[in-house]
Amino acid sequence: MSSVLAIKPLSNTPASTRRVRHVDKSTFLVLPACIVIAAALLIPLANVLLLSLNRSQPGVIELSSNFTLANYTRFLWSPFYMRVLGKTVYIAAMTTTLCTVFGAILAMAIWRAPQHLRGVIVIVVISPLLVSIVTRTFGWMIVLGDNGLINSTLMSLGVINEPLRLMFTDGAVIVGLLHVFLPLMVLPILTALDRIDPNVPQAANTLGASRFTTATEVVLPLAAPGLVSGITIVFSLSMSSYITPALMGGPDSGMITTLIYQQFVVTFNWQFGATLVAILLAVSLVLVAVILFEFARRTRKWMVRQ
Amino acid sequence: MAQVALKNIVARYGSFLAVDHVSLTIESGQFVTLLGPSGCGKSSTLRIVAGLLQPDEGAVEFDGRNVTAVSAAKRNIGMVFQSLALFPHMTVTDNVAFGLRMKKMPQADIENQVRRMLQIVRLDHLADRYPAQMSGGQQQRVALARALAVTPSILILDEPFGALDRKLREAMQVELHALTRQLGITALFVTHDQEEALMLSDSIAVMNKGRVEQFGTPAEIYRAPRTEFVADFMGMTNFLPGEVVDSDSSSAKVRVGSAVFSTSVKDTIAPGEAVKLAIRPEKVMIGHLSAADMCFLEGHIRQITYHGNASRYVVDLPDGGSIIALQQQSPEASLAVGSNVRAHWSPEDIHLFRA
Repeated sequence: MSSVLAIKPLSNTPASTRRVRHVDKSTFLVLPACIVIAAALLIPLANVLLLSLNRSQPGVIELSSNFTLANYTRFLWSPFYMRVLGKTVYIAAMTTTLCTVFGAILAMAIWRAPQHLRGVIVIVVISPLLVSIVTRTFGWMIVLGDNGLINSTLMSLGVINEPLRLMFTDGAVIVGLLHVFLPLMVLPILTALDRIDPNVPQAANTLGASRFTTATEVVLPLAAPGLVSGITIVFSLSMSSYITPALMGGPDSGMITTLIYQQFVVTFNWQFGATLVAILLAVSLVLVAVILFEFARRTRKWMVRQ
Repeated sequence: MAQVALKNIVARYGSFLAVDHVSLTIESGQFVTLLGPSGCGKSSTLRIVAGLLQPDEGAVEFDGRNVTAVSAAKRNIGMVFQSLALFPHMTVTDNVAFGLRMKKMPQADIENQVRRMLQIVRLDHLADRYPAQMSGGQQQRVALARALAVTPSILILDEPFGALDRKLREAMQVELHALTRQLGITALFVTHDQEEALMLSDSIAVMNKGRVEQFGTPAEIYRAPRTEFVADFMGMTNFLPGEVVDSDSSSAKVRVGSAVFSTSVKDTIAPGEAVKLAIRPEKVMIGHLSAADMCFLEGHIRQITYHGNASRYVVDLPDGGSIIALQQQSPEASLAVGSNVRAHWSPEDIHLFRA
């Protein structure tokens, strides 16, 4: 026998569903993917991280062996950069929160919808992903612009006298991001909902729970794995989004990605650009880790691997 | 506990008639089982009682009060699902307390009631466990405690033991029997297992194609099945086609092949009418006739199987049919496959059904 045999005492409790460690030849199928990721992601990333430890020298892009933390001190002691970082986290957090609220409601609506309507609704939900980001952004300009749908409607109704500033604001960025990322929240939640035994919400119902209580106390906690996937995906993508903030944001709503672009392309300060990349990565990783850790802590006891 | 009545219930799925004018009364404190094969409408009927399915016609009454339009949440029922449907993210205590919390019962009363319920199902030592940390039998008892905690008008059980292995299923059946009688619970139980139904119920409603074929005590259903379907479902697997040759109000002579048997009947069947003659396999004997008035058919043994507590013989009859005999003793050496035998039974074991 060439494969590893795992011998484990049989137990009749469902708690013993931990997977048996098992090395199989098929494991090697992931090898090509691993090689691509190492070559195309890890090595360049390591290069960028090392570059961030070199002294700032606009125009120089080679690594040198003189390492310094000067770039990081410059970032940390600058109120401007810290404010941009704060704004980045704020916009990503707002986008994620709104996405979670709308995504959960939308996913539950799809879950409850009659089977024949379901496919149609799912296609409508993922349609933003099918439209080019530029087209989508210009679409929002038509809605949010000074002479756009909202302003002209409000002005013709006499509610306001001069146009509200809607486009090129933080709000516009959040709306734009929400629009793109909503499907990425809805799909994992829907998958988690579909895994719930349909009798469980009915059991809550027979025990006297209203629809709302069933949704908040039974369905949503059981959809937690999907919520957490969605939150992780949307938060990471919002933190590193570039085009939507660049096109829909105002001069004041620059996110850290805007700065990264400037450092690499405009000022050619690759060392400081690399520092910004490292900081963005670190902040995203820490916040996502906090979310995942908290989720695992809350669900460890009852979650059984399927 | 309440009396529950179904009045002329009809339920359709599209053009399919799932429940076809079912009327049924479950007296307070009675344990009633809906028995039937899958697709017979028993689960739909149960969901109508629970309020999880709205009937197209008819009414559901709890203690004479029409609750047809009342939602499941407001009917005050306790339901045990086939999949149990425990709340996996809640401890045993929280599962059992859920219904009481929904009733806005004071916290102290909830704690008392949960403790009492867990004592009844003997799970008080596992109050802080999550369902995934328990065995199938323990989860079953949590589901029962959760359903009973709300002191429901009726306890509704949808094939709750379907997923359990045989030994555990039998243990849970005994436990459920004891518990429902001890607490005087009105219960509606659904199963396709006739042994389970016979053992647990005060009354059984045998369902077929959306209709109640027979409603009666387990003994009535078993001993005097009213239709061929009920007879078949209650394990009367021998059906011999025959023709009535002579009859009066209490007895009939029936010809099967070349043999003629006489048997008692409840109502007159006119001579010439085609009938089916049903006999339980365990009432059929193989070998020598033990009494002069025995009915018998000759044939040869096609198959013998050993079942531990019994042996099962398949005897092929000359006219192409076959008859099954289930005998308590081990197979005799003289009875081998291929040997010619007489399959015989006493006249009172014959049940006649119009074909």
